[in-house]
Amino acid sequence: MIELTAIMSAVLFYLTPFILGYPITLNLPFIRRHHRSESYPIEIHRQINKLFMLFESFIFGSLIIYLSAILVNLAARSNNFSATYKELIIIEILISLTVGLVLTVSKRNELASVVKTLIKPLLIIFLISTVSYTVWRWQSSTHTTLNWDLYAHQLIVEKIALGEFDFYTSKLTDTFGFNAYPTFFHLLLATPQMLLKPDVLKFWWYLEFLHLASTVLASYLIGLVITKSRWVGLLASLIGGLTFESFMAYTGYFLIPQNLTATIAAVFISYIIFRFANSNSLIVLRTVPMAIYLILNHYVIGIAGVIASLFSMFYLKPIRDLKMEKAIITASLLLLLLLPIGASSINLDFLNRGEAKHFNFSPLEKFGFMKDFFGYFMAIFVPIGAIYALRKRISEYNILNVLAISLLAVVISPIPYSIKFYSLARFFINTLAALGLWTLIKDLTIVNKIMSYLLVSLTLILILTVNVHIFKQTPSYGEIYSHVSPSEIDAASFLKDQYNSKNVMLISEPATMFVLEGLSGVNSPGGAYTSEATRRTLSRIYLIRNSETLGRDLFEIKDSISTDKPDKILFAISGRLSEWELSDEERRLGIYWNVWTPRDITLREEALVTFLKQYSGFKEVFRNHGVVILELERPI
Amino acid sequence: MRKKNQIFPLTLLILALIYSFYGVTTPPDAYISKKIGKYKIRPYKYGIYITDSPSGIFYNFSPYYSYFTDNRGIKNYLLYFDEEVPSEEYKIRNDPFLPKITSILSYFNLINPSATFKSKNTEVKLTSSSSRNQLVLKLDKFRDKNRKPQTIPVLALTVNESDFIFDDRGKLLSPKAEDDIQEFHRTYNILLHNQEESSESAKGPTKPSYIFIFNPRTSGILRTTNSKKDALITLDNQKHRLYFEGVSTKPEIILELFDTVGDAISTTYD
Repeated sequence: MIELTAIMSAVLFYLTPFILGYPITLNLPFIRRHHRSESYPIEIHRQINKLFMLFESFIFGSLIIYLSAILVNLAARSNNFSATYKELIIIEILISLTVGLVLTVSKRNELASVVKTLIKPLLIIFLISTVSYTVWRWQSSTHTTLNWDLYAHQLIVEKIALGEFDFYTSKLTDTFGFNAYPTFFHLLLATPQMLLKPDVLKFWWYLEFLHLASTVLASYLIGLVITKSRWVGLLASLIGGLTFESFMAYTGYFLIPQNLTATIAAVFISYIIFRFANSNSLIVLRTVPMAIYLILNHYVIGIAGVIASLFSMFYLKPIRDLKMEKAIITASLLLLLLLPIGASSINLDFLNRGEAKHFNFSPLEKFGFMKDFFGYFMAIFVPIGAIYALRKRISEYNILNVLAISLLAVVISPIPYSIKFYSLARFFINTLAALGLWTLIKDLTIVNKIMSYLLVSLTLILILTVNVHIFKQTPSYGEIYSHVSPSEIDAASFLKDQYNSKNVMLISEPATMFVLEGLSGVNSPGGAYTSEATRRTLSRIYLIRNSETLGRDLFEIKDSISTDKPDKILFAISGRLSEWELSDEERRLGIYWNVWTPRDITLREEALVTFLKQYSGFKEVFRNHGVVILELERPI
Repeated sequence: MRKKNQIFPLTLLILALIYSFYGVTTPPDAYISKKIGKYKIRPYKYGIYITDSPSGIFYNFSPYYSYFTDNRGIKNYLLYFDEEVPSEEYKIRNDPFLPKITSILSYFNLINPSATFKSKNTEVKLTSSSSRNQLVLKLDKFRDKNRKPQTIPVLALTVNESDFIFDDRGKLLSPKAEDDIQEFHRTYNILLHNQEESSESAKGPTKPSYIFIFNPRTSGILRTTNSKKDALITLDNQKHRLYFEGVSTKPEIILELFDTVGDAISTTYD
């Protein structure tokens, strides 16, 4: 039952917006289906249309959900936000379901047509995603996490479920030091959790599988739109599904705002390409909501997506003369050459509180990442694909080249965090790689084609396994791979049951605070992003152990959101604590490093527990072999 | 319509795919391991080691520490550091494909680490196998053209200076400070005691019993037993090595690896 609830909740993450958006995409007059031009074969045209319908419904529905939350928040400020919001969403779902059903029944063949058109690609995409996710989640079952950011997002979800809602993430928790996106993504996560109350980790486990499937679907769609070939679409989806950017981008496996945004942005761009290839016109009321969605989901990647979309419009519509197209392609190639050189002459390390220097890499270092992620697969097939696309002299192929090359220029440039842009770039680069493969495969017999596809899949799986194995050395605990241990899950569950709505503050080293706060909702001073002052206090109490000042020091730790002084301090001690405390100062005081691996209690931590209980007035309230939680009352 | 050449593009594709795989970053050899609970069993340059990896605590099984006695009663190590022979498994780190294939097998927990040493005159092979939490380390092969072992080889497992090594009656084979003994007692409710006369070479219990190896920096514990009638386990406190003397022609070290001290204690005394 627990599994089923988790699966249903994960499905609802996509299904709820889809249900709400479906009647709009299906019927409103200003967004009727396109007229078909001769540029796409009828079957492919139909398939693309239906796939867009899935994404569009999700986008429209997501916007309705967020609008509903904003309205509820405005109308019921002092009342219970979560109860009112939940009721409203249920009503909206019921209305949309009714309208959707009526419309579907009235268009008798619509449902059958959707099923008939999409069943084959969806089954193949499901198969690819299952293989990929099996490799990824090997020895990482449903109670594990491999996505470190999950805890930060889940914390906002917990806040929303408790009735705290705000546009800005930083107003809900100090885990978010700045606002890279509003709470749009978190509300989508919170909605199914509020409706079905699933086991949180299982919910994420299944949800990230669906996310992977959605990125594979997007890869297929882009390949199909640009090449009009299902074979190439399949190759693109194989590459999309069986590769993993195991640093910073994490596109396929991590459901985080940047990756959801990048996936939708890629679909949005392919929609524009498809639309122009058909009729040279756009319907503003259809594209504007998509742009709003992207920006609300992630400011930077969303804006990048919108810019790329606008550029695609500009490229495809008004100036379709060969000279201009050539000039733009040449400009993108120059960008690939000059941007890395230009960016390396500017110091951008001041970004993000000085931590940016840890996330700024030279092109050579990025070549190393490429080898980690793909071996030489991309280095071989992308250039072949790019040349093949160039020789085709077709606008869709040209825009593919321009987008892939321009985004690649940004990715390889020594700009802090620029690898994150690969989450968007990958969709176009993968399509180029698919085209590169296609040049070798296209003239083969059907049997040899199938054999080639199997060989490509096998190679990608082998590369993926080596890559994933290296990645998973960090989140590794005993025989499982995870950022969180079963002991920590039990501790979080205890905290949630006993302290969730109480005026307490959870203290530990940053990683433990981050994990336990994310899963329990119990407030900590910033989690993994706690301030330097807190980090210094934590170091002092561990190393000096002055029983007279220790309690006072802990109560002086400040939370930048909550101004209420806590009634109690909860001190969570695990093996991570000593690891963090005994690390060098730069690591301890910075936010770029954490003790990502769970560690159980050893004699070192037991000695601290004994000291705190004997000399500093702490009371032990929870214990298992991984975590001890001590409680300290505020002195009167 | 004339059918296009199939062999050329297929060969090109296969070569390109092989080269793609060749390009993947070679994983460090430390990533090749067998997992048993919290412990990892890994091959290294001089043998096989056991580690609870985050702690930095290692237990090495190596032919450079294991020995046989010749007919004059002199210890002959199976291999000597001055004729350093790295293991074959260590040497594959320079191969373009083997470390990657081994890494894949390791990821799916499909390998049992072994260490093979080959030189002109010598061949030594160490193997490991496991079932549930039991690990068996064996000297599978020893061949030396110039030296014929007169006795069954004695296998060595290195331990750490900070380890608590004690038997199931609480007798410490390596002396510990009274404060450490108290802390251990407070935490695990097991009272340990130092031997009355500490010796450089403390013998293990004579009748079948358990020996525990615990390090304060880890949360798990190792347990071994001299369950065979005339098997003997000896601790060399100077060199920090446990020696396993057996009766069989293929001696072995049998260890049980527990994730917590509590697990080991409950299965020992229940």
